[in-house]
Amino acid sequence: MKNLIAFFKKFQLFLLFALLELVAIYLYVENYNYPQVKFISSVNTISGGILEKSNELTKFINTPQANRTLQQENEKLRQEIEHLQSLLDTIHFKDTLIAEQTYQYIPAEVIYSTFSKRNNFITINRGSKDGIEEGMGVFTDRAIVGIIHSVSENYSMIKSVLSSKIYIDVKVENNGAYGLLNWDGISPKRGSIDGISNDIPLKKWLRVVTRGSSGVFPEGLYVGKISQLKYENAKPLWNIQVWYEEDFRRLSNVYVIKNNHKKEFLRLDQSINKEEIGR
Amino acid sequence: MINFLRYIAGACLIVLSQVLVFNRIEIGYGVYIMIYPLFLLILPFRMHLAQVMIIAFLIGMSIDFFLNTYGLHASALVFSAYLRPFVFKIIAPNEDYSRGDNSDKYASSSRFFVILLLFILVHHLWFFLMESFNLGELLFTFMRIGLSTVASTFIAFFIFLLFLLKTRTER
Repeated sequence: MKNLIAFFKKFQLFLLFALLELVAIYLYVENYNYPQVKFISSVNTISGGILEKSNELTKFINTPQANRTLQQENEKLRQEIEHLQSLLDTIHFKDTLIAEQTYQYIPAEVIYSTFSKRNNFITINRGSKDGIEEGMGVFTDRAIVGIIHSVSENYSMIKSVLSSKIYIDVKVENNGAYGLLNWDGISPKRGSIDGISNDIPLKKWLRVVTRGSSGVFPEGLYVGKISQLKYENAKPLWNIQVWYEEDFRRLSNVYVIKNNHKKEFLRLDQSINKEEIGR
Repeated sequence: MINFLRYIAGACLIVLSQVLVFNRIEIGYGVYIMIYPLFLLILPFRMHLAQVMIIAFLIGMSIDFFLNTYGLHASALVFSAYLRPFVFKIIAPNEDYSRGDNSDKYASSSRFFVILLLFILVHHLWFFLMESFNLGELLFTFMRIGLSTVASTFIAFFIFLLFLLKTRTER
């Protein structure tokens, strides 16, 4: 009898262990791809607030750097405006131009980011109040950063391109060969592209940009350069390594991309899919 | 009661220091410093394993709460909590762990170091294997486990020497 009770006691502990593990792993697996429970991530008011406060204490360290990049970007944009202005003077479409804007950009400040974990997330200080929704693209003046993963009223969380299964559609700029961006978890400077057939001629140091086919990113945003090219083992594919342009160790200001035509785009996409199924 | 409050304050401190300090230290090579398993070793030996596991779950969840890992830290910490008695048994099989406070058992800090190393290794094994969950990355994952275990153990041991050992000798 005594043995039985002892055995039961041990079993009871194992049951508790299994229960706690099941809850934890269930939460992890369910939320990694499609976030559903917002209160256990950094976008909630308490943890977002604490992270923001701590960021305020440390952000002065990279303020000069951030200022410099913003200044450079300003200069670039100013030149572009001048260039476009000169084009506009020759064709007279001034009034309709603003209404036709497809992409809007929401500036945000990074309050927490990692780069050496297996899956890296970035928390920013803008949320649904500022018009951010899940699935929007995020970039800096240099290159793309990631995709919005979950949003609360005041904060949102970006799944950065330094994550497994991020799958952003990218292409090689000069010949349009496209594939999906992926990350193997080893270096925050290098990612890879899956799915480019190796009968397409490619060279090292070609520029890789977003393809813009899913409506998340506009076409042509910079991603990085091809830094290594090999033949994939036993597959007619390239094994491509991309050197990211963005330095994820020093993120401070990002832009969230709002696609004003997203609904239209999705509707079109759905109708195409339906047609294909109907066939 | 005072002891109870002390443990709660300790738990808050260790969670905040993990989130605000150690998570920001990024050395590269996949090194991830996690010092919070230290807290489970400080809990009294007499404590029932069920209690330890529930505490582990709560601490793990509160770390996940900040780091967008949704239960990953909690599962690793519950796993290491479950193996806590076994770790003690391996290190010192002849001791009676049902009685006495930690201060008696951790009499020598070199023994504590070995316990800590083993305990953090258990935690990191579960954590990194769950996190990558990919056989193709196994080699890199093991490199990660090795390097992170060494880094975490040393830092946790220094924290133990600096803050925890001192209060014990005062008592």
